[in-house]
Amino acid sequence: MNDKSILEGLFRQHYGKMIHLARTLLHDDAEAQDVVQDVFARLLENRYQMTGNKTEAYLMSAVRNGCINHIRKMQLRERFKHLHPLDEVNDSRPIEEVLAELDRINAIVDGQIEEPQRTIFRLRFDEELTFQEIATRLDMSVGAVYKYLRQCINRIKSLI
Amino acid sequence: METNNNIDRLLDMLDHPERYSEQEIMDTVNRDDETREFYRSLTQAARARRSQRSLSQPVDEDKAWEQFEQTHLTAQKHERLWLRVAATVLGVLMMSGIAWATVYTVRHLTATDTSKQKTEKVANTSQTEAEAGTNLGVADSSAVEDEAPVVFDNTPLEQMLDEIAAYYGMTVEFQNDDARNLRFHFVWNKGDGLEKVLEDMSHFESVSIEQTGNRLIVQ
Repeated sequence: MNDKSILEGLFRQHYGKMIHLARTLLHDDAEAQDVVQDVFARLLENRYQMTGNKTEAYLMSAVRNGCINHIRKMQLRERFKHLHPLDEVNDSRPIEEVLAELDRINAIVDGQIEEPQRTIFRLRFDEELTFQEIATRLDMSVGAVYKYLRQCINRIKSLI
Repeated sequence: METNNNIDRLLDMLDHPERYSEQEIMDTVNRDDETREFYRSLTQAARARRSQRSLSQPVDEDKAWEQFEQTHLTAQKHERLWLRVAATVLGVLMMSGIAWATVYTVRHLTATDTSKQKTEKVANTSQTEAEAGTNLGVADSSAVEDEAPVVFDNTPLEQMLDEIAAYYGMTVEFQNDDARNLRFHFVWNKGDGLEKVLEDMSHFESVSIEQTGNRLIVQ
């Protein structure tokens, strides 16, 4: 087995999880793909110095770090607009734990949030409408949309 | 009540970030612990839903590996790569309406008539391009023989300029940070002088690149 087939094996085995993490942390699919490809490019430069059974953890941390660096390079307004962290907060929790928390948020939204809070949450975060667009669609004031979203976020926080 | 007003202000800022200064945004987010925590929850909510969307999106390992191979593992494949470059250039020319271009004229055309190609500016359409079979993803000049054109396909400006600047012995200075990640389609003929390359690049939307001494300044 040569170097290339080892790398290809790693790539095919881990790509799915890696791209999922990058898509979760970044808002742009093309940029998420770049981050994952860069991880393998660096691996190639270093000639695969991987340590035994920690391969997946290493690759996933590399993706997380790549995404954090990418966000750091964005201008503040861009970071804010896409709801990325504004401060240099290093989330040192294991990646599985971070992803599990996101799964819990999704389960709460889909199962334990009432209307119209849930619809407002979905329109904002799934369809990425502006609050003004949501207000128009639901025929309510923007102030009411803000109020329901605040309630929704606080409820999620209390249930998590 | 005051905190709620501050959070409402933050939500308004999300609809119109361009109306506020960076300082105003930071001041609002960090005004009190509750708002800061609220913003963190919004960040988590956005990630949660991106995660859910990602799971429903198909993952194409084959395409990703192919792209990686083309970009990083083609050093020993000059011949094949050159054919792909030729095919892509031909495709671009045909899209420009020059359907009579034939393979053996490509090398000549790329040296003399880049103006047809530079109109193919593409930002963030890698998927569409891939479907059209023109997604080459070549940004590694070492993989291509010296005189062959380098095709930057949906490539971030920063990456593209770093490579071009290094070739002409220049350094790059971004005065506009937003421009770093703008993506363009560009065919670079290394035989062209820097002046010609910059002239071709002057057609990029939303950026201007100027040469000052041995620096390329992006505004």
